[in-house]
Amino acid sequence: MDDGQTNHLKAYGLVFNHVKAGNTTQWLLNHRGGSFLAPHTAELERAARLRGVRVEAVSGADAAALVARLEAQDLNTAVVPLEKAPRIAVFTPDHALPWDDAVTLALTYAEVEYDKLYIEQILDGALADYDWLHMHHEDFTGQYGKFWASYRNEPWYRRQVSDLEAMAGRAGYAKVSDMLKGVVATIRQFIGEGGYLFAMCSGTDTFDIAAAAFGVDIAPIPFDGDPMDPDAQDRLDYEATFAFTDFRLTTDPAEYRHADIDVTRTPAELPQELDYFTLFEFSAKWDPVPTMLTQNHVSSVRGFYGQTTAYRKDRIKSTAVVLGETPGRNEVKYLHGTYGRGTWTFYGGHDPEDWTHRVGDPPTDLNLHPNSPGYRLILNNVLFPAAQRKKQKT
Amino acid sequence: MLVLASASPRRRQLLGLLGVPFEVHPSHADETLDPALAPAFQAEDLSRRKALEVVRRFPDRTILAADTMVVLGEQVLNKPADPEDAVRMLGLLSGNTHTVVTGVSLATPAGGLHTLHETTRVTFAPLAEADIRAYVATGSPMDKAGSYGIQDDRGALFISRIDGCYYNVVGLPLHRIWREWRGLLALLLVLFGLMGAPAGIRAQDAEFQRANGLMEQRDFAAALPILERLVQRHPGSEPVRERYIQCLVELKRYPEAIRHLEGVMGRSRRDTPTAARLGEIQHMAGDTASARRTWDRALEAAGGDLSAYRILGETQVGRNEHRRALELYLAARRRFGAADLFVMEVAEARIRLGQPAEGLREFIAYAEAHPASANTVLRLLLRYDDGDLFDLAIVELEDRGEGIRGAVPAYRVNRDLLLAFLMEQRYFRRAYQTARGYEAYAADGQHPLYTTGLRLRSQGEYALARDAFAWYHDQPRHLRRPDALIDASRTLLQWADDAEEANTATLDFLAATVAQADTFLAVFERDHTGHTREAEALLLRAGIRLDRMPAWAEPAVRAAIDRLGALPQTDGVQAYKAFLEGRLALWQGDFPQARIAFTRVTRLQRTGDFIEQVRYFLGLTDFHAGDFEFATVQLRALERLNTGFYANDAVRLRRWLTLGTTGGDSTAAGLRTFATATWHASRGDTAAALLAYGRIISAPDALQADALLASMALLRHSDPPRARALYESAAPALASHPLAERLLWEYARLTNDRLIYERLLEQFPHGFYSQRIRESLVGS
Repeated sequence: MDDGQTNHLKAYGLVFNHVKAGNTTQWLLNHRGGSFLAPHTAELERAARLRGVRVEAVSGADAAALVARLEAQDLNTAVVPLEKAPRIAVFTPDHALPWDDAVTLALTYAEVEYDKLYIEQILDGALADYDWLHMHHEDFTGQYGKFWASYRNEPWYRRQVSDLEAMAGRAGYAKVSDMLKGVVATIRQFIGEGGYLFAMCSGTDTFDIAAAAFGVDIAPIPFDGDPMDPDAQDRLDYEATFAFTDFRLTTDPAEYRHADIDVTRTPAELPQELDYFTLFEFSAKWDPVPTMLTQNHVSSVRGFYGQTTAYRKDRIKSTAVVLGETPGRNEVKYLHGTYGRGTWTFYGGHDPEDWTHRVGDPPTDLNLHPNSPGYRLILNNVLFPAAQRKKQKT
Repeated sequence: MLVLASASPRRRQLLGLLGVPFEVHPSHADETLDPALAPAFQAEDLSRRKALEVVRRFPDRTILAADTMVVLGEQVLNKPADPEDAVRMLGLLSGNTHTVVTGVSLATPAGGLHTLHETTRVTFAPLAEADIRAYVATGSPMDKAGSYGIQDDRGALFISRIDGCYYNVVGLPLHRIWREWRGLLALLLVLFGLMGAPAGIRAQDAEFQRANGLMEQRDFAAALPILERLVQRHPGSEPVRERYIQCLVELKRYPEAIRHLEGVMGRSRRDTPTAARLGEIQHMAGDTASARRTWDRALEAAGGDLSAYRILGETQVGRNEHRRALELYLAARRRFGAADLFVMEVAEARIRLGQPAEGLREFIAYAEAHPASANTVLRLLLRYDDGDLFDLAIVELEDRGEGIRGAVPAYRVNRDLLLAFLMEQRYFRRAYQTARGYEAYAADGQHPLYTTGLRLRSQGEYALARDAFAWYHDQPRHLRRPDALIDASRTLLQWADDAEEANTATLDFLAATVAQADTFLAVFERDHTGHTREAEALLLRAGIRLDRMPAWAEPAVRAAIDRLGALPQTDGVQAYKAFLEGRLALWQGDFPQARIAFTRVTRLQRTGDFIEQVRYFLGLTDFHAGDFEFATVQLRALERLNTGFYANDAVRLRRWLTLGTTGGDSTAAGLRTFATATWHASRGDTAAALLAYGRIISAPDALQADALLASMALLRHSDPPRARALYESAAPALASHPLAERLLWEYARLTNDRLIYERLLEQFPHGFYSQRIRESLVGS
C-alpha cells in the first residue's frame, strides 16, 4: 500500500474482518509500503470498493510469482500469512472524559470490532477472553493524569476521582493507586502469558512507573490524601518495568508529568513543520515483528504531542527495540519489546493527526485522514497478532 | 523583597492589600499570544513569560507577574485600539456574560516557577449607546482589557452580576494567590517583620531561605533539621511553624506533627485553622476518631463564627468526609437561619455522596429563590456534561414545577431550566409540550413556546416547530400572530428544501408544504395590514409563487406590488417593490424593464443579503436576454461574495456562460437556446423548457450535460420514468463529461436503487458523493 492506496486505514479493517471471517490473507512486508494479498472474491472486491480501498486484481500465476520474488533472499521483503484475527479489548472507562482515544477512533473508522474493559473487569479476569489490549490516556500511578493543578474543580475531574475511589473501595483496596497497581500486575501477567499490549500517550510511561512502584507510595497528598513515601525514589524497582529504567519521579503534584521519561520540549522549540520522526527499517525475513509494526508508505511520520509525547533515549532499557525516533534529538517515539510469551508496543503522543490535542478538543475526523501514516502504525499493531508467529531473531 | 512585574496601578494597589513589601519592575516580555492555547493558558503562559523576563534582571528576588484577559464566547477582548474600538467592545459586552481570566506566576530565587489562573464571570446589563460613549469619553477604558474597569464608577454601574473573585477582575486574584502561595508570601512577610513575627528571623536569615529552597525542591528530609532549629528559636512564628508541620507531614512523621500542633492548640483553643490542620493530620495518620473530635471541638470553640464553618467544611471535604461536611453546612444554615447558606457546597457534597437528586434540588431551589442566578445555575449544571444527571434534573424540575405552577418567578425559572435540559437531551416533543404549558405563565413579553419553536427549527424538528408557531397564529388576537405566520411559513419552506435534499420528499408533500407556507402568508396579508413586517411577508409570498409555483405567479406578484405601493414609501419598501417589479418583468420576458427595476434596487440599498439576491437576478436578466457579456460583468461582482447565499447560483450561471461562449460556435446559438430553456423553466412552462433542452441534448453541444441535468430536475417529481429514460439514452455519450458523476447521482436518486449507488461508487470512488454514499451503504 504505497501512495497509490486510496484509503490505507480502511484497508486494515477490510483485511482484519476478512481474516476474522475465516479467510487467509498474506501480508506482503515492505512490498509497495506493505500490502495484502488475498484470493479474489467478488464480495471482497465489492467491500473494498464500498470503502474506497484500492485493490488490484492479479492472476494466480502473477500472484505466485510475486510471492516467490518477495521470498527471495536478495530482497528485504517477506510474506507473512494472517490466519487468526485477535480478540481486541480497549481499556477505557464507561464515563465520558473530555478527550478521546486515537486507537478507538482508528478501530471504529477501520470497522474493527472491539470491547471496552475497565478496571473491575480486568481485575475480574476478563482479559482471559482477549488476545490484544490497548490503553491510551491512562494514569496507572493513581494521580488522575496529574490534572489536579488545572482541572481539580471541573466536574469531570471530580467525578473521575470519586468513581475511582468508589471502585477501589468495592475492590477492597485502600487507595486508587493500589487498585491500579493491581491492574498493572494483571496486565503484566496477561502479556507474560502471550498477550499483546499496545499503549499510547500516558498509558505507556505511567504503566512502567506503576510497575516499578509496587509497594511504594508515589502519589503526593492531593491524589491520595497522604504524602508519598519519603524514600520512594530509592525504592523503585526498575526490574519490573517493560521499557524504562533509571527514571526519576516528578514529585511536584502541580507539574504535568509523572517522571523524567517524557521529553520536555515546547512548540516554540520544535515547530510543527519540523516535528517528525523516522521509522527504522528492519530485516523483513529475520525481524518480521518490528517490520510489521513499521509498515508504512512513508519513512518519516509527522510528530504529535500528548501528555507523554516521546521518550528520552537514556531512560529506555537496552532490551527494548526502538521502532521510530526523532532524528537529531534525544527522543524515541515508538518502541517495542517482549515480556514472557507476549509483546508490548509503546507509542508516544495522543493523536497522530492533531499536533497538540488538548483536553476538551473535538475528536479527529478520520474521514479527513484516510492515508494517515501515524494512524497506520496503530493499525499495524492491531493486525500483527493475526500473523503466524515465527521464531524471532531479535 | 518581592518584585511586581507589572506597570498596572491597579495591581500595585491590590498587592499592597496583602501587606507584602514589593517593588515594581514592569516586564518587557514579548506579549505575542499563542492562539492555539485556550485563553486561560494564554494568560498563564504570558504571566510566565513576564515573570521569567524579570527574573533575568533580578535573579535573587521573588517575582510576581500577571496577565488579565477578557473573553466573550470564543473572542478575546484586548485593550482597545482607539475609542471606536472601545465602543465596539462595550457594545459586545452589553447584555452578555463574559469571563475574566487572570494568569499569575510566582518565580522564586530557588528556581521555582508556580503558575495559576482564576476565572470570574461578569454579566453586563444592557447598555445604551449614549452611556457607552460617555464612558469611553472619560478615557478610562483605553488602557484596560475589554475596555472597562470594574473599579471605575461607570464600569461598576454597567455590571449586573459577577460570579467569582472581584479582585480577579481588577487584575489579581488575591484570595487564590494567598491560598495557593501563602507559605511563600508569608516568608516574605516574616523576612520584613510585617507580621509582627518574633525577633530573630530577618531577611538575612539564610537558614530559613535555605529550608524553603529545599522544600521547593521537595527535599523535605534536608529541610527538616533546619526548621526544627528555627521553630525552637521562634516558637510563635506562624510561617515557620507551617513549614515545619508541612515538612513533618511530607516525611510521614505524623505523631511529631500532631504533638506540636496539640501544643499550639493548648495555647489557643479558638485557633480554628490550626485545629483544622491538626484534625487533617490525625485523619491522614488514620486516626479518624481523633480527627473528628478535634474538628467538633474547634467548631464548638469558635462559637458563632461563620468562617469556622467554612474552614472546617473545606478541610473535611479535602479529607473526603463529605457526609460530615454536609452536616456541618446544614448546621450552619440552622444556626444562622439562612436556608441559602453554602448552597454550592451542599449541592456538591450531596452529589458526591451519591444523592444527585438532592444535590440538584439544592441548585434548583436556589435558582427558583433567586431568579437572577438561574443562568449561573444552569451553566454550573451543564458543566457536568452528564446525561444521567440531566435526566434527573428533568424529573426533579417536573416534580417541583407541579407544586409551584403559577405566574410567579420561581415557576418561570423552573420552566426555563426544564426547557434547557429537555433541549440538551434532545427530548424535543417534551420540550414542545413543556413550552406550551409554560406559555400561560410566562412574564409579559416572554413567549417561551415561540423561542422553543425557533430552537426546534434550528434542530430540524420542523413538525414541532410548525406546531409551536401554530399555537400563536391560531389565536386571532395574539400579539405574536403576525410573526408566527411568517416564521411558520419559513419553517415549512425550510422543511421542503431539506426533504428535497435528503431525497425523502414526494411531490404531494412538497406541494402541500409549499401551499401551506403560501396560505400562512395569505392570512398575514388578509389580517395584518399595516403590520411592521407586512413588506417582508409580501416579498416572501411573492418569492414562493415565483420560485415554487411560477406558472401561477403573475397575479399574486402584481397584487403584492400593489400592496407594497400602498405602504409608506420607505427606502426598504421601495426596494422590495422595485425588486418584485423586476422579477415580474423577468417572468414576462420584458428584460429591459427588469434590468431597470433591479438597477433601481441597487441604488436604494447598497449592502446585505437582499442586494446579493438582486445582483444575481440582474445577471440572470442579462443571461435570459442573451446579453451574455453584460451577464458576465454582473456576475463578477457577485462572485467576489464567494460565501454568499447566491454564490453557487452565480457560479453555475457563470459556468453556462463560459461553456456556451468558448466553444466553436461563435454565434453562441446553443447558449441562446439554453438561456431560453432556463427562462421557460423559471416561468413554470415545463413543456417549452423541455423542448428547448431537448434540442441541446440531441445535438452535440457544450451544454448537453447541463441540459440533461436540468431536464431530469424538471421531470423528477412529475414524470420520473421519462427522466430516467432521458438519462439512459443520453448518458452513455457523456461518460467522460465533468458532470457525469452528478448525472449518475441524479439518476440514482430517481431510481433509489442500491446497485446504482454502488455503480456510482465504482465509477467515482473519490467523487463528490462517494463519502455520502459510503456512509449510507456501510455506515461509516
